[in-house]
Amino acid sequence: MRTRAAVVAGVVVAVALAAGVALWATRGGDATGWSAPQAAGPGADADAAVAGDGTAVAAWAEEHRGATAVVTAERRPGGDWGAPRTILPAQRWTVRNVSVAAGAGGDVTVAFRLIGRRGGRGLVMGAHRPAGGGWEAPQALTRVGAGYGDLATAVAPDGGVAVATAAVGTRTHLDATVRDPGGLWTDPQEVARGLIVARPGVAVAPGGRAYVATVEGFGRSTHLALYVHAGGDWRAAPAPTGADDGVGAVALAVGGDGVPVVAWTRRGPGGATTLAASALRGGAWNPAQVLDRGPLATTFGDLAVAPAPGGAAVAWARWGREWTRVAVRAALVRDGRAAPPADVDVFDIPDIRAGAQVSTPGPPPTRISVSQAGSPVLLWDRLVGRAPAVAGRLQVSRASASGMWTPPEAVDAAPIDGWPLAVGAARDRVVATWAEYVSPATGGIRVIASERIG
Amino acid sequence: MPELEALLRDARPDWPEPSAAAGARARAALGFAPSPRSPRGWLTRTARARGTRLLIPAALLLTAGAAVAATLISTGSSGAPAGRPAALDFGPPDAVGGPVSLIDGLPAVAVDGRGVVTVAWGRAGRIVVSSRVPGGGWSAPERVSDPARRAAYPRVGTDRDGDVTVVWRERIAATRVTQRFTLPSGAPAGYLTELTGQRWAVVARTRPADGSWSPARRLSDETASVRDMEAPGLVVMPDGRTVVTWDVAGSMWSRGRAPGGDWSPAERVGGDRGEAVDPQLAGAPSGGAVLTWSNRIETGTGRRYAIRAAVQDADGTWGDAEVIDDAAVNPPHAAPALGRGGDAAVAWISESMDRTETSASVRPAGGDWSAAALVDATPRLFGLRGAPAIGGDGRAVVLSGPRGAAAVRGDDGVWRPLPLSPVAGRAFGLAAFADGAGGVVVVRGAAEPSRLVVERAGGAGDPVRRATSASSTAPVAAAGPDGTTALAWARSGPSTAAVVAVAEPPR
Repeated sequence: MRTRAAVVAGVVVAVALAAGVALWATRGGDATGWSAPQAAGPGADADAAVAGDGTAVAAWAEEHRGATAVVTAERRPGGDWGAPRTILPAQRWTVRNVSVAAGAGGDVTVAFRLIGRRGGRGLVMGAHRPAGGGWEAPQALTRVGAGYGDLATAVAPDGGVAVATAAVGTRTHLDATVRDPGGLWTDPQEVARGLIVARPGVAVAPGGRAYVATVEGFGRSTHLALYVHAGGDWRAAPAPTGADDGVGAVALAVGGDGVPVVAWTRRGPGGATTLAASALRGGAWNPAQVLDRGPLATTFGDLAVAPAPGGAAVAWARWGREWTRVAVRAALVRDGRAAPPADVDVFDIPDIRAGAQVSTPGPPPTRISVSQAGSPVLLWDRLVGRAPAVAGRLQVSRASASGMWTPPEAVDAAPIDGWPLAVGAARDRVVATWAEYVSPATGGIRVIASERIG
Repeated sequence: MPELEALLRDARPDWPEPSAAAGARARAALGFAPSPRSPRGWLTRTARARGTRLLIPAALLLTAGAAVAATLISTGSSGAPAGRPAALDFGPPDAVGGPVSLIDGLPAVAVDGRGVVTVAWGRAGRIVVSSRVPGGGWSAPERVSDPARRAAYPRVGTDRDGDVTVVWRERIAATRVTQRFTLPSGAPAGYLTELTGQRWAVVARTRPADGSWSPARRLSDETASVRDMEAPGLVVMPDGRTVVTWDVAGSMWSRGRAPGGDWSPAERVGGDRGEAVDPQLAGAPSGGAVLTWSNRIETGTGRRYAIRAAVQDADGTWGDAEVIDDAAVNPPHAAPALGRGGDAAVAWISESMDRTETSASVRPAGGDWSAAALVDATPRLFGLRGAPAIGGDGRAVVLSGPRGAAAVRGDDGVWRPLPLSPVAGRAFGLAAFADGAGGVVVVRGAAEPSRLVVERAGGAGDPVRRATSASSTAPVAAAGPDGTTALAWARSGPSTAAVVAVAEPPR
């Protein structure tokens, strides 16, 4: 009898140990090859970038007792987040629109918006860290103006920087400032004024030539507007054909071959939408290539363009079936021409409508990030739950030299309440970063990083 | 006896005849059976016994004596003369002055016993006042608040003799902090600035008729929360008694002033653990006041608004603050009314995704608040603050939006629709008040085209329509005992102004 009890107890212990080991293994991501998630932050707002060597850089607005500091942390490949470093000491103004960009060469810029207490006025500030150097003191990059707006930052492989911001207000204007490779910040310039209706895209080519793309107009009479910074001034540049009416979203990058590539969505007659791209070669835009079509004005969601070896990668989310199925697609652009788009992922999501009677049509909720250096890597989220909290599963796919995309693989076994931030591919690993809400009750965002060897 | 009849006749307010139901209630209170329908019936029903017959003149004398006593008590306590019906023959709206800082509250208006109309509004952080004598023009706007202190949320009240009281919230302390920025070239990039250490208080000034303004008097303790004292309340009764209310955190506070006297100490009227929001104070010519507000209780998805109301007797004593309803999940915008006899009513709205309901509760003088009753429902998400009023017959009327429908509470406690003239277009503001004769007047702002429609709730006379500017705020209304009526609103848009339309009685 005693022997039988001992055997039963041993079996119970063994099963419990096995279950624990299994849980630990799945949580740690070992089953998929991803390292255990590591957190930095939290802050009221946060962003991250991955440099060309796989170093992740996070920045967040740390609020405490009515004062806000801007703090950064870096995570080198194979390591953990380093000690947080304050680049803007705690001060009285609100910090939002934290934007981090890292170049292939390791230069990093953190831009953010300081907003007055009543929100009516603010300015953009930026801090730069040259590759291998230390953080410079934050610098005002715009004049004090409207308190809110969009902010976009780009860093070139040689360290050139461009920051563009489109203010929200009755007299909207788009301002930009640049920093030459190895140089200093220049004073901001007003790039455009008028009805700016889309988040600007910004890109910098090696040597310091900078580009800004946005959408201007009103109602359906919206067109793609491009501006180039060369010789110390911003000037309007011709836009690709087919982007002169009904343009909704725009994304821009300078490809690995130094050729700017722009992608946009355009609403046509009957509400159908097209997604097109063009490359600027020899001072002229190639004929626009339609990469995708959708029957709805809201067919397309997140749109991204990023440098890729020998060209650029264009990625986007679209409805596969409105409200319940999403497709993530991508196309590689080489020699100024886009290859046929690939379905990187197609997945079902919970119906995101609050109710058929009260939901207006909207784009798919999927967020996409594309690596800024090395071979293209996509990071996106699959929505898997809505209640009690939003839950998503992060997925990664990498393009091979032949342009084939690997099957999606999960970054973390546990669903997250957050969104993808940045992904990067170094020679021997892929690094993914994302944002997670700390708590529905207390708020706060932390930046998570994980990596996979191989 | 002729003297007694003359006294009764002269003292009798110029009110409409009481309703049959009100008469029945009075007879029942005196122990009389339902009145006979004909002289023959009277004769057939009259008691023949001598003793019983003697009781009849005794009862009549007792009744007459009680009426005289009641009249004398009323005159002694309020001094209110017989009121006249509100004049509705409005002249063209006058743009009294501008600009109007709409963020600092809407214009407030009052009418004194001489027919003088006074309007107050916030102009660039200062409180300004302008008055108009009967048949005359508007005086130049006069600043009454300290130009060095930001002031907002004005209220104005006047008594029978023309003494004016104005209250507002004033920022009494602040320290400005400024940080300047420079561009990479060293050129100025501008500055951000903010105020720290801010403190606010409720302040009052008074101006005797034909006199000058008294120094500003701080009525409240100071508060460090900008969310406090956002809607001070003010009631000035015809005899000069004054009540001021304000909110601090979850509580409502009050001070009063007797005619010719000083302000009483601050008194907590009531409150709860949640922030007190949207206080509304109303008075009656006979004295007293009713205050309603909502305490925002609980958090997250459990957030609710507990509507409270407290009634101040004619002797200035506040009763307990009672919870009228605590189910609203959105701001209920409760609004109160007080009748001459001390009857009170509160109306509020409840918004859901596809429906807005207006509910009301009433309280007879000295009684309890009734259970919430549904007054109106519309299939729209956003509603307008309801506008209650209590007529001279004690009946409560509620005007509710967005259709600007009216309902009257019957003797059986049931709310029934009260016919009003049709108004095209969406209502953007409602007001209702009882005039000096006890009649209820309702005001509806209607868009497309923008205009105000004023009419008596009883249906007497045709509605009066006055055009307003294309963009106008909700109107506020006031009526004096002589029948002078004023409607005030703010013209919004690029050129804001305080606008007042006045209707004067025949003189």
